[in-house]
Amino acid sequence: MVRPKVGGAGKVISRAVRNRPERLWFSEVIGFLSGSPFVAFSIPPMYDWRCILMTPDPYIFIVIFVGVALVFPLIPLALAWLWRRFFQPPKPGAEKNAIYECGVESIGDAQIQFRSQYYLYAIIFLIFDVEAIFLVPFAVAFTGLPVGAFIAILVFLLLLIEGLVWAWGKGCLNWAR
Amino acid sequence: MSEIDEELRNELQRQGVWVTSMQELYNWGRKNSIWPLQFGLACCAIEMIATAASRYDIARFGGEVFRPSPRQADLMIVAGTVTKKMAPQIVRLYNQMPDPKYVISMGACAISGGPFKQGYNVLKGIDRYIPVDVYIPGCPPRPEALLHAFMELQRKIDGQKLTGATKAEHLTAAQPSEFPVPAFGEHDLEPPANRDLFQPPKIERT
Repeated sequence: MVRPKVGGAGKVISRAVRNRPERLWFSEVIGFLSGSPFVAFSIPPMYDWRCILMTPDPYIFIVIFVGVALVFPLIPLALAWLWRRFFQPPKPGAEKNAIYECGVESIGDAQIQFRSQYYLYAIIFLIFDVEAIFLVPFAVAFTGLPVGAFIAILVFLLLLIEGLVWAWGKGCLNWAR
Repeated sequence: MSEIDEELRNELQRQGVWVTSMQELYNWGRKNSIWPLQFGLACCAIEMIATAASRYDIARFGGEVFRPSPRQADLMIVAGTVTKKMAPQIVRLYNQMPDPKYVISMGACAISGGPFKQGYNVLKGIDRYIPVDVYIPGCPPRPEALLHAFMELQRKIDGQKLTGATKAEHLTAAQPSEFPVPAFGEHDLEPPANRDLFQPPKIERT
């Protein structure tokens, strides 16, 4: 394998600079600023980078992604912290830090309890929604099921049917007049 | 942070080198991404909606991202009649906006009560409780007028200083970020105006 030449890009830049003498000084500066790290760091790591890509360890990408995912949000947070430190004094306040943000003051506590009468709705929901979700895979896999699984789903069904009988007796299934 | 010589900057630009200061970069970013708070009070809000829609298109100035939460908003457009019932909520929303924050008082009602000034239930101008940066006259103002106010606000933001004695208000620690919310009194809002912000105009008769 031929090793790439170190400093190849630098030579190209300086040749381009030589062809434009009228902008020599600024181009030198720009070329120095942008080109020299390229020459110094980029090409040998590029070579190593390809070696990493050729090694059959796919987990290296997860490590890279985790690193990027950590650094990416940390940079703006650090910049914001610096900005606050040097320029903008924080001005917290009771209303600015309030939880509710629609212009109306919140009344009471957010941690409320529901009335226990709503248990009938919970039973109906379990019978007609959750049960249906479990019944479809049960019906699809019915012929291949072992006896233990069949008994388990039967117990589940019987519990819900008991709830259905209870709700029926309470009159939940009648149309309201 | 020091100001760069204008001629030197032009000379450098001619050679393909752009230079800027932290202050210019900061203000350039701020003035081109002003996010207004999404709320309307009366008929001026219809004009505000028209300004945001495709014909007038406030997106050309970077202000199309109307935020439904004051936490994410930079600009409050008080568009319409402010009733005394609504004034505490508006002041509270203003208080909940993060610094730097700006207010456009849109239309005759938001400036002074407008045609409803004599009404018992109408606030005679939102500047009694919160500081206003740009006033737009009109009943209601045309979308072009709101765009003009937006450009005026951009001009103001562009001129704000980061350091020194004349630096921007939101960078001064002593400048308050929250203003007292008026309460419902027996006949009027209590207090009827924030005296630190608003001085009633003196009428001299000769």
